[in-house]
Amino acid sequence: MEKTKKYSYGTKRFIQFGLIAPLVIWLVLFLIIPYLNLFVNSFWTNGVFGVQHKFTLENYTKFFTSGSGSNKPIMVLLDTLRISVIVMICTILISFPLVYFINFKVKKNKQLFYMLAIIPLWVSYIMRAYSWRIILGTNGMLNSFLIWSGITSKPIDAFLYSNGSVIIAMVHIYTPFVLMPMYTAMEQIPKNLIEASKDLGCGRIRTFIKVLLPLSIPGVLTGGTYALALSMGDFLAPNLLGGPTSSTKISNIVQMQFGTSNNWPYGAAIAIIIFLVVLMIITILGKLEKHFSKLEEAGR
Amino acid sequence: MRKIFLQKALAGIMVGVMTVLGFTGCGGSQEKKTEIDWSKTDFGGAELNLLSWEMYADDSFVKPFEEKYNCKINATFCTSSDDLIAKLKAGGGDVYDLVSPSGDSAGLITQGDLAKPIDLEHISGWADIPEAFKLKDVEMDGKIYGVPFLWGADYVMYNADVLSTGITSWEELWDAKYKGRLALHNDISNIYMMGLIDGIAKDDPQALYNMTAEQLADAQVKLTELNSNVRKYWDAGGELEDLFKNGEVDIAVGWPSTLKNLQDSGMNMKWCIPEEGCTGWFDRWMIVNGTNQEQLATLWIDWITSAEGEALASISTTFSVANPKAADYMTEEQKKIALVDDMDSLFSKINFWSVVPDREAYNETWTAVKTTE
Repeated sequence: MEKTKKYSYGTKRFIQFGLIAPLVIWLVLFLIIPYLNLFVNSFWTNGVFGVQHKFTLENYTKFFTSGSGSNKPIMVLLDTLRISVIVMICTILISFPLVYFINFKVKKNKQLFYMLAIIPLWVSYIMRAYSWRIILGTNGMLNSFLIWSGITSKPIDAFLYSNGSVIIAMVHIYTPFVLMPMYTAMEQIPKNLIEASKDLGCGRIRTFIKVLLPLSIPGVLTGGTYALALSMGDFLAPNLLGGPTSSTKISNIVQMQFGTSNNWPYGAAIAIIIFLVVLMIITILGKLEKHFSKLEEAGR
Repeated sequence: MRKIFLQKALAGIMVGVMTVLGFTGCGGSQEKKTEIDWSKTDFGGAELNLLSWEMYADDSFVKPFEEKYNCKINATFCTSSDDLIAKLKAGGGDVYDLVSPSGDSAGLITQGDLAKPIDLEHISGWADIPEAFKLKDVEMDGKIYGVPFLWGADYVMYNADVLSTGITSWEELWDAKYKGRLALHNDISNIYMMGLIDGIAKDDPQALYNMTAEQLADAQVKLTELNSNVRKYWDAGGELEDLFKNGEVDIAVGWPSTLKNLQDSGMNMKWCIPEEGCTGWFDRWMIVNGTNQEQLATLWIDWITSAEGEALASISTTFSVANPKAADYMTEEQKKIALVDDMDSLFSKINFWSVVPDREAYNETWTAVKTTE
């Protein structure tokens, strides 16, 4: 073992503090204070020209009672959750085989393949969202191809300005976020476990199901959490690619409260509710991830 | 040791919280009264910040002003009246010097103390503007807070290559043949339109802006039914242009400036006003309370509402003018496009946007329309 240099207790503390300070300041300034501000705001009353500092719970009750049927805010939240879960599943289904391929099938230039997979991150969000308008539009590339090849005679409207186009864009945009943690997790699976499984007479499929799949679940869950949380908070994709009834997700409603509807306290209350819902989901996924990580450790 | 560290960290957080919360509490500055030299023409590159509609900062009328007074104009654009109010509320005089609200927000801005009274002595075009255009919503305690600028209709525009004629009644928009071919503004003005179609404004034009809960519910039902024909609710004029250019829609409710841009790009676009009439806007220039460029802002209003300024603005936007003398600076063709010689007939067909006292109810109705499957 290498001999470490001895510092006095005070100096050691000072260094520790110096190392941790930037992170603490960052978190306090850009996470804790904004959330506290949001939390406090969610209990104020809204006036015509500004927030009145009068305590009320109305913003929260309004969320659960206003509207009817599908336009109740809580229903919009559930609809957003449904879309986000679909996005999460799709991103996982796309990422998994890709990560598996890069990890186990690519022998040379692994890093290059990995880079190719996450290259979409280099293009700006707006560009990626807009490009789907060009691809899915009435006179877009997809419709032009379908008509050219004779599969349809008229352009299909439903491709663009629908929930479908919102989901497609989000899956495209968030796949790299899912792929990265998945890749890291799969990379760490010891190759000898797979060899052992094969030695003990398991075929490819059984090795995959019994060994590889359980071991990659922590990475899948981490990646899935990213996709879910990011799409819950996305208001641009619905706005740019959603149709008359699919462009208003829960984050759009929050955005409207801080913009056009001018009701900051209500917007803050909805934001807090979304925050709690997402926090709950992340906690559950985190617990699951820990559960599977334990399996992995036991396997080593 | 750890305890002390935690205590310090907590104290730090508290101070931070106090600071942030403190920001929301204060604001407003003292006005200074000094002798103003109105003959001044060099403002040493001072910046004038406009909060306006997207077509109100065109080079054709901004450049002459910048050159004359040696200043720089920056514009922030808004997508709807609510957006304008939200931005003004968030920024105020620290960020914006001038604002160009429509009739549904100008009164709110006046009443909400967000604007300053305008020194009409230095607005040369004021006397030329017809009395009918000097709407009372920007008047408070005998002072004027807004000078009429441009106005126009939210009319129907259509691709004449696809539709041979326009529509004669708004009801036609619900026709199944327009399924997925229609674009409407993402704004509560659609609710005004429903009131107009239902004829609630026959006796009192203001009824559109004071709809009862029942009338709002009716409007919601009608708009929800219309959803199946709507391809997209557009946010900005440029977005509507793209929708037409990409062949996504054939018919829309929109602004004259969009129509002009599409025609300029070679599309065969036409417009019409259905028999029920239509809603429209009358924009005023107002000076933002708290600005430190009041003189330059007044000079901007003087310029832009003068005959020449209005003419240039009307030529670039095709909107109708508030100052009829603008006609002197326009060609026959330009006058025809902006209906300068036929102002009265257009003016009478328009129900001008007005302040909606219960804006929240309108906004909620509008959100409900967009979230009903």
